[in-house]
Amino acid sequence: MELFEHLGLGFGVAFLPLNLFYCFIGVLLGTVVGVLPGLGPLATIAMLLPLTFGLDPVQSLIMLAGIYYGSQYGGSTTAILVNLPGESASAVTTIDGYQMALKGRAGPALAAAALGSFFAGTVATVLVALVARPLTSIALSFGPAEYFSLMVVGLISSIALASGSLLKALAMICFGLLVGLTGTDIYTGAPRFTFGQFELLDGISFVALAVGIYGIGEILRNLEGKEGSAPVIAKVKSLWPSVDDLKRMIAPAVRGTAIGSLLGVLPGGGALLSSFVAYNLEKKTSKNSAEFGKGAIEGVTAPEAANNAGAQTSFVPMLALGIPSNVVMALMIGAMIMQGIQPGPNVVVSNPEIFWGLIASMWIGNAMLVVLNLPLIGLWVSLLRVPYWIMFPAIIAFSCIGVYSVSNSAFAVYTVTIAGVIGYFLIKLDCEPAPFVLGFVLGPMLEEHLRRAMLISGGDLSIFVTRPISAALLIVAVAVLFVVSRPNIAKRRQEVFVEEES
Amino acid sequence: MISDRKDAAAGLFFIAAGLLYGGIAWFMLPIGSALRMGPGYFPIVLSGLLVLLGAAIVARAFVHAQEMPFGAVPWRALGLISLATTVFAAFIEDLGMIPGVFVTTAIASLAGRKIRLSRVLVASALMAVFCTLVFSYAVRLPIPVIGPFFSGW
Repeated sequence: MELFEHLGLGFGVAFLPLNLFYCFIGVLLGTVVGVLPGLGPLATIAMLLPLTFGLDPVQSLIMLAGIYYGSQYGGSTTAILVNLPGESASAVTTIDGYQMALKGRAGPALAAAALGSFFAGTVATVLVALVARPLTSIALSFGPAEYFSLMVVGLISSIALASGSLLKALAMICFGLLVGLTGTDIYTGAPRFTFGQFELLDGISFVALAVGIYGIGEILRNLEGKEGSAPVIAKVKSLWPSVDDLKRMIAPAVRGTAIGSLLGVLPGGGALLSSFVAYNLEKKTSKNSAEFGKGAIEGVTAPEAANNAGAQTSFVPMLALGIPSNVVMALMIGAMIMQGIQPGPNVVVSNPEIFWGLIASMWIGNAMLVVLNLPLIGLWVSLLRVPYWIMFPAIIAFSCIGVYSVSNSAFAVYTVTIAGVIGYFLIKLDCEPAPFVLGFVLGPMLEEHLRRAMLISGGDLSIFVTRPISAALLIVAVAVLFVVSRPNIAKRRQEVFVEEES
Repeated sequence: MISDRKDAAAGLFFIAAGLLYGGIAWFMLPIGSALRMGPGYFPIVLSGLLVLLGAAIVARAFVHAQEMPFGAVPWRALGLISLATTVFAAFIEDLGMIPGVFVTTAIASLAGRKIRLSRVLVASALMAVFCTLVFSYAVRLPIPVIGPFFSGW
């Protein structure tokens, strides 16, 4: 079978000693990032990009991907042991995970999270391998109209992920698209929105923007309140779940994986949404639903499986279409471009070793994570004792060095500062940054495809509805917009995100 | 009577941004036609949308029921952290990795609450050494370890 041939090639690449090494470094860093609250995968990948300069493309992508899905594992550790989600996708794990820890069952909870994640990671890896290839063949037949409509779907569905009001999320998308257009116009060479700064002719650095909003902005929010006292960390006695625990984990792991895989592929979906949906479904369908909120192992397994599956399958649109489904994938695209690879359906043809090597490395990385997370749990717990007054200046220094080296300019570091301050105030005004960031990345692509589509159709807008795939995609976008704006759905979204913040 | 000042502020911000970008596009960039879009076409469409959305958000601020508190702004932290990154950007090439990271970390540390000067100095020094080892020697970033500013001495 072709698939095995491809996976064989992939594992051949991923098992090269150096690639194994970078995969390990990636998941190790990912775990650290996941454990440390207030440091997300996006900011970390952005500030560690210079570490990948000397590497070849396969190595760097394997490492960056490892940071992303590794952070999903690490985030569950703090969620369970200290009731703090180290990473937003683990927020829902705190509900039952911490309750289990309080009952002295921290070990089985950690095992449930790790094993559920590993199961999900395995299934999702196979899924990515199965789906990505056929999808690239479809994508190769896409014209500018289809790409335009696809990106509209992506932008609209990113609203579903944003908390708060629909109008603000839409406005943030428009604002992001506009800011993304900064730089030289590709068709005419005219400089746009550069405010006389020649550094802006190449556009605003995405890495700087991401570090500003997610790195500096997050630090400012953490410095708002009182510096918390050292967290109370639950003790871990025995790691091993009982046979009964294992039996109760199977069905939720399968359901969580299915939900996560599905939602991860959707643009705007990904890990966070998956874990909430999986938890709510489990709560409704489980025969132990009375135990939920009081330490049900199902309530740990399902969302952890879902967020890991979602993290993994969110690579599909990026690899197959060259379109980011979430902000971390947007950064991965940036990393690929820096390595001289144009992301999109051609990658699988022209660089099969990157494509399949990355997929195979995800499975290997997941296996490493189980080993890293379970026996070494004590090490991660001690990381939680690092006080914040050491952490945040270090994050700032790393960010400055990272951003400065990526673009080799002081200007990018000023961008960090400005983006951080503006981003912080927008978040204070309940404007979520994710739609803005996605808009920023897609802005130039969206405009390019729009202009090309108009050239093809002779300036006739109906091209978007007369081409079947494009029309179908636009219908999906309208449907998503309609569903999200329904009052009862809006209320539900509100509840989900309020739950996350509490 | 405005019943949600946060919504009003956000809406006004979007209107301002829309007018700024739209104004630049309108007055300074060729617009072209739908067939051959100039560099100003798409930005004007987006700016128009942004102004409309901003206006809708402001309008809603008058009818919106509850207001969530804006919360405190850590002005001192905001100032010090901006200063730290600005100092890094402006002087890293002259100072070099060790002094640059030391100064940046030290300024940023002052944004914390309970500051002890000795702790700040030690932590910043360690951070400077660590970054130099990782970024200058292991990753070989082209930032000098000790910058030209010190070479005259």
